[in-house]
Amino acid sequence: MKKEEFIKKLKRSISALPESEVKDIISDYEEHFRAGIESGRSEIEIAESLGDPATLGKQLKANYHIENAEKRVSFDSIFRAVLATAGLGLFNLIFIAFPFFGLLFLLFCFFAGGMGTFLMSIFGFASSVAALFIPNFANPFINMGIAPITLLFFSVSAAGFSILFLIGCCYLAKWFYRLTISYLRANINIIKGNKEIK
Amino acid sequence: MDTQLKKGVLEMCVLAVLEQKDCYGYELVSDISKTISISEGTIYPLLRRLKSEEYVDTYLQESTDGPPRKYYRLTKKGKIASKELLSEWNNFNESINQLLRGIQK
Repeated sequence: MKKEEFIKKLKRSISALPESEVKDIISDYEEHFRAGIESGRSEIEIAESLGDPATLGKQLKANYHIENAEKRVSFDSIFRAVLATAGLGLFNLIFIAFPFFGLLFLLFCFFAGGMGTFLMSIFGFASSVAALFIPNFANPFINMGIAPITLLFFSVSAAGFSILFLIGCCYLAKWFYRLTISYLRANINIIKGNKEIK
Repeated sequence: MDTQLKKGVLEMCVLAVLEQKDCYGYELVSDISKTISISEGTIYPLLRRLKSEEYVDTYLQESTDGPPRKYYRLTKKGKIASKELLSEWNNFNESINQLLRGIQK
């Protein structure tokens, strides 16, 4: 592979990145070729020892998405960063995508559980207040034989606990976000020996 | 050498080389690939990351012929990181060697 082909392939694999980023990356590799030729190596030799441009492109993309997720906190950006890093190889897929989606699901369950408990407690609170003022008021809780005053007490405390739990979940989510980024950073440096490229 | 092992030491090597002198990309790559067999292209993603983490900064300098070259220079933050990585590496090395000596006896 000659310089032109290498640059073309690299450009194609990072075409999704912002133009200024692409320019900067390409100029680094062009400089590398120039310096290599100056020291007496052939274009083919240089391209070969640089490695596969598509693999490099994947790494550069993963790099960019991780940085982006760090600067702009959003579900979309962390999702892209995870996918880009997981796409680097089977190892990354197993050790990044599976734990990430597993933990994400767990976090989702926590939020759903917290929200569910909160909604139930609102319902319980409303029913207990209604039952205190309206005689013969019927609803599932009262029908189960729970005294309105007991229900009032339980629903208020359940509401309090679920709010605390949800706040805890928000902190957990933030922590999970930061953890994901540093984990991705630790995983991104996949270095292949020259022999594995051929 | 195992690829996972290389991945861990490459960052340290780049910082160590830059500690001695500012380098342009090709210089840095050829210095390091003399010792570690890696696909040379992967140093550039690493350099970009080190730059975004502010371990290194870059400046342009005229070359004897052709357009100016991008030089990489260690920042204060990078020097601290380099020292930390090196002492971690030395400790690790020391304990592995002790273990190996124990086995060989």
